[in-house]
Amino acid sequence: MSLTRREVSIALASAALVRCGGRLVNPSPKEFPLGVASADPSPGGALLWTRYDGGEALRAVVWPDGSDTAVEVPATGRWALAEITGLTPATWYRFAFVAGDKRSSEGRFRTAPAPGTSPIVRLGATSCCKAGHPFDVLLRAGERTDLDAFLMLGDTVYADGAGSLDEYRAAWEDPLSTAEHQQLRASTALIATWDDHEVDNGWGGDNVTPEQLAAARQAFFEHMPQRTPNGAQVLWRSVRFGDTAEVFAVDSRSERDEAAGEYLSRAQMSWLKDGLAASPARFKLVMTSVPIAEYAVPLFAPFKDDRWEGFPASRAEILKHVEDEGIGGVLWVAGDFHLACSGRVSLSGPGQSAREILVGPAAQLPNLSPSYPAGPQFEWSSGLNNYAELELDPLRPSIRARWLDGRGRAIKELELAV
Amino acid sequence: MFPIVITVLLNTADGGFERPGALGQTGAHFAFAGGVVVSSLAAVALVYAPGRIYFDHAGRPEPLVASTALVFAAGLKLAATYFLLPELYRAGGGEPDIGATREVMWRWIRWPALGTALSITLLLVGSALEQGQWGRGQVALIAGAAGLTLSHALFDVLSIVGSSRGYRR
Repeated sequence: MSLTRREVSIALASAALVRCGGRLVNPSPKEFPLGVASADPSPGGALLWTRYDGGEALRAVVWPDGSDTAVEVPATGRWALAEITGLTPATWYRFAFVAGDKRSSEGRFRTAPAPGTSPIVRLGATSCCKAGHPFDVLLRAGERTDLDAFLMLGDTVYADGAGSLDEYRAAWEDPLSTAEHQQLRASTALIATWDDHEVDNGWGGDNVTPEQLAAARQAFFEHMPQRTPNGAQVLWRSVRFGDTAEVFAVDSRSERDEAAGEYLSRAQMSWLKDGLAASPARFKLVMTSVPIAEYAVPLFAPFKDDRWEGFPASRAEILKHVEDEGIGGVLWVAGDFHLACSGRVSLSGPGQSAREILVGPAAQLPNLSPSYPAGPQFEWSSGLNNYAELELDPLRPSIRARWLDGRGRAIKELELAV
Repeated sequence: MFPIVITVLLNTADGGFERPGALGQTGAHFAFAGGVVVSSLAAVALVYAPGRIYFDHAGRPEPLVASTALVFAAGLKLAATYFLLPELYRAGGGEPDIGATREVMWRWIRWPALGTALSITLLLVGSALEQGQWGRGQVALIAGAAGLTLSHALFDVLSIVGSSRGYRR
């Protein structure tokens, strides 16, 4: 967004009010009960979000971290979105929402690096945050100031049993009212997808009514800001971080066609194949809420139909495409299993040269299996609550992955050659 | 709490609640059933605790830890059931023949005890196989767990039935 001198002056005044006092001293949790969030950063901006319970005109004010120069954009809706553009790439910004003499808490985000540049990119990632379990992991992740973005791999809330829009909204509101969720969401930009529990336990495409799915989808989009370049309320999209990384957020749930054996719709599959092949980024991270790796063991077999393995044609199609096209630097990132792990996607056949990591659970019981993934296919696994940090350095041949627990302690560090 | 339920059913079927002067005997049956409950809970705790300690340390379960703990827990449970629990029949008063009670009970529980031993052996074998390759021992683990659940439940029920029969002889 290009700004006139007058606009900059007005924005500067707003920012000064927001930041330095005057009538706007403290954030107003009554009007902004769920804090703020940002999402899907681009080289020139990000999507900004808050829940606004007031009646005055709302705007978002954005200023570079450590600077007084601010810009502002109007925000609309109760689950308010504001798209800020025209910012400097690879730069940290702070933001807040302002309405009359009320203001929200502050958030921060980093604009993505510009195409043609290849800085180091650090991403956080987790999954499975069930209310009632300690949210320490979210708090520790939210204390970080060096994560370019945070990947939410699904089951961010557990809305099981909800049916109406009001019930789905309540399922989001309760956890997002907590300090831990708000701290993480304010700390950096989110890149989110969903899994089954945002709709219903075990949901996989056609086993909820269209009305229920519509309500769940609306509540999801109201609370998890994201760009929708592929259609209204379509989850799949990619976010690029210069020439270092491109993150492909996949919708592993709502576009399944069990009768046709398709895990992703044809449109989504084509988008993913084309996007991976065309991406100039050194690293391509594919966010799939449900793992694509093969878990061909008796203890994991009963749940096979819920994941990529239950749709072998789709699974083989995308894995073979990556291999046949010689697409390098692909890392599959998944959640859902209530365990963290790292390993090869397959021991043989399609995917034998591909890698996948599982992240989370952030706040859930560990996987109840008496035996966790191990060699020769998997190199490590853990059921401790965790988030992962991925350091993507284009000058190195591997991704440095660390999993951290609720005390901020590293429980595992691995170099992932991709 | 199913041992208590079994005891209630046995006593009801035998008229143990209505028979004059049978209150002491009924109390003895419930003391035994209570002992079965306590010994089962203790066995579960003995298996759970080391597994939990290992999980907190390593972040993952280790089947061999749980299987090894099962050996000790099952041994202690068998010893408690055979040697200690029949003594609880003294709570009914009089001069009960504890030896006879024990002998009849053993006839009832020996096959479930053998089933439990075989199930634990399967779990140990499965755990050892899992050490070498993930998934290799899981059929044995599943079979062992199913066998253990069945045989342990039978062991508890039949220990109550058997001791009850022995006590009444």
